[in-house]
Amino acid sequence: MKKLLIGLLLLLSVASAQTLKEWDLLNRGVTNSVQEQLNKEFLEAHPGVTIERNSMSFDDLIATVNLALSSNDPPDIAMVNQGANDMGAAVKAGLLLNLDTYAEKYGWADLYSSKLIDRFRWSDDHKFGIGHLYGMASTAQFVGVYYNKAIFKQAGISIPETFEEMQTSFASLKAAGITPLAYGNLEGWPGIHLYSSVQHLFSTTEELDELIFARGGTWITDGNIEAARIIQDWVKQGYLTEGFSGIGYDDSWGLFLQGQAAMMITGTWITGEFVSNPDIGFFLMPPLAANKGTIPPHIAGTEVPFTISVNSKNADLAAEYINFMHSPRAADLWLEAGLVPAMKADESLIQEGSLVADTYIAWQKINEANAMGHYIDWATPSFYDTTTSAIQQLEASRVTPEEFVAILDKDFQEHLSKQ
Amino acid sequence: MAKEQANWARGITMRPGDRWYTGWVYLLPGFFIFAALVLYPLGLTFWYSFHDWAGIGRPVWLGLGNYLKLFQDKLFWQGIFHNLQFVIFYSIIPIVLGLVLSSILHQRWFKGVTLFRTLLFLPQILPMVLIGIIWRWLYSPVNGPINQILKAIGLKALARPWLGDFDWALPSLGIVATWYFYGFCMVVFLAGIQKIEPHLYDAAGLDGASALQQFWYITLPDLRREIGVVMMFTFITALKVFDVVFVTTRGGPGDSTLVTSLYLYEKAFKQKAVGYGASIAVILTIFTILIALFLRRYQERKV
Repeated sequence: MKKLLIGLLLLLSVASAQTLKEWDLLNRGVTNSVQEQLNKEFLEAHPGVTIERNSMSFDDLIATVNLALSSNDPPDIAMVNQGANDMGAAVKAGLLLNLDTYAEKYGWADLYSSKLIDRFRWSDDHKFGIGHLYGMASTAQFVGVYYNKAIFKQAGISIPETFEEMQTSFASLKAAGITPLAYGNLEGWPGIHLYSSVQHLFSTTEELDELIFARGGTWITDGNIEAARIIQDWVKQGYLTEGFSGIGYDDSWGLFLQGQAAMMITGTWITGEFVSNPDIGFFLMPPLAANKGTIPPHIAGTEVPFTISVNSKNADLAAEYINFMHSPRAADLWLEAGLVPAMKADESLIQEGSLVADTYIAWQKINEANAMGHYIDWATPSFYDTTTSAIQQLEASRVTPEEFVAILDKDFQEHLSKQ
Repeated sequence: MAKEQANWARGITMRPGDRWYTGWVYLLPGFFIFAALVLYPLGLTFWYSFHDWAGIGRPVWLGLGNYLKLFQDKLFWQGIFHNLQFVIFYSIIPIVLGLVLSSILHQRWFKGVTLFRTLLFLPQILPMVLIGIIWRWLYSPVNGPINQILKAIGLKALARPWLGDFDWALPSLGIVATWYFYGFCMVVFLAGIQKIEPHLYDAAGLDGASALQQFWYITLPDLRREIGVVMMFTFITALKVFDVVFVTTRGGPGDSTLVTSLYLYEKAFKQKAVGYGASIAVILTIFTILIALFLRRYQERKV
């Protein structure tokens, strides 16, 4: 009888225990340990709950997560990439839970810039960037300029206030025998960031929104052509690492880390690799002289957002989990690990003058100015492949700046006409 | 019984009490595995190729829509063209090199021939992905040995970002494939040469035939079958090349090394146009089968 009772009790406790199946791509050293810590603390606050974590690489997640969400046993919480191919497709197929009520309950809309939160929105008539909320992400990633303080001092240059000043410093560095920009474009994608960093300076965030959310417009603009001309000029002047077309991204940042170039234009995902060199600092792309003193649009976004499966039996708990991932405690843990949280964190944690401080302050500036630009490869499903190829052709002078924007626009207009 | 006699004549033995289907029953397990792993996916791919499908949700019937689009797709034809260029490096050059090496090495002119054979075959035991990574380093403009050597011997003008050069990227990757396959060709040809009657060479030698003539009139005709097998294998590999391009140039610079299977991958898995990707796979499969049939007919005709 006693045994039976114990058995019954055990059975009951098992039945009441909730299991959250969670899929993420935070599988690398630092990010993995922060996520493990956050999961641990969530479990401590929720006795009886277990988390089944499944962490994988970006490529693996993108290839499998939508299939997993459409299976009979979907993950409760899963990272689903922004854009039409991934989150858009999942929303269209009815796989994701509308998070509007949770967002209101927890006040997610006030955590950071609406420009970022809009990227997790899809409307009932399947428009990107407006309508219902389907995800939330807690860390920020943006593209700016890493620089070597020792080389700057040696060459007698300071952080440029305008883009024109930056180009002048390129010329003087080159004349002094120093490579101005570390760069390698063997894989093709670093070229997207190099080109669009310059292209963003000639655009407003509204214009960029139009193009990236595929609402209309054209890529054939004077600013886009001028940016392409500038990239070709940099190649001709030898401002980029010699042989960059055959150099991989990892080699290029390795060269910069070793002090073999003065600057590198890339995203903050690389900060963790650079903190070992105290000479390395970070600044935002400076505006054109005509816009001096303002923050131009920056290629900026968040980590891949967490979503909730429409078939999750623990949706409330899953929402609580996502809310915990955006708590002040989470922000502090990310910041301590050297990553920029999308929301505000305890600023006393950052060491003044450090690289992490540079990136954190830069993020606050972008956030306050609402200067969120885009990863331009989101514009259409084939835009990544079209753009990487076109930029390599541009850099090798196989196409003119005018032909280059025409290639981008052809892909874009084909996509618009299908909608 | 007449039926049993007929079976006997076809080399099928049936004992009294055997049913006609006994043999087929034995085939069933193998057939199920084959059906589950080959026929079913093949049929499914064929089915998807007539649909617009993002990998989830309901496929939308398009009829021949994907195929009509594919035949006008410039990038697809570029991919096929690059595959055909790779045939030179995967198939033709390794076969020529393999023939030369095997006719040298089988004669045991010098000590250590076995060592040479082993060393030349070595690339074959490495996975293609690893080979891609090794060669990516060899070609690298940053401390890559190839450019370093060129600079050291005064040929700085020849040094270039090999994999990032529009004219050189495809041949550079081709050389990787040649390096991988010539050892395989050599080993197959060596085995073939060993079964050629030695007295043929002795007789030819007595008649005053030079080494070149012996090669041309004895070795080459007798290796016809081996050449056929190797050609079929390397040809098909060149048509489905993916790994070495994926770990090095990803089809770049521009589209200069874009091959059909990489394009298929981009469409089906990155751009989530699974139906369109399936139509590429179907055309690639048909193309490969046609070439295999052609090579096989050619091989048989000469026998």
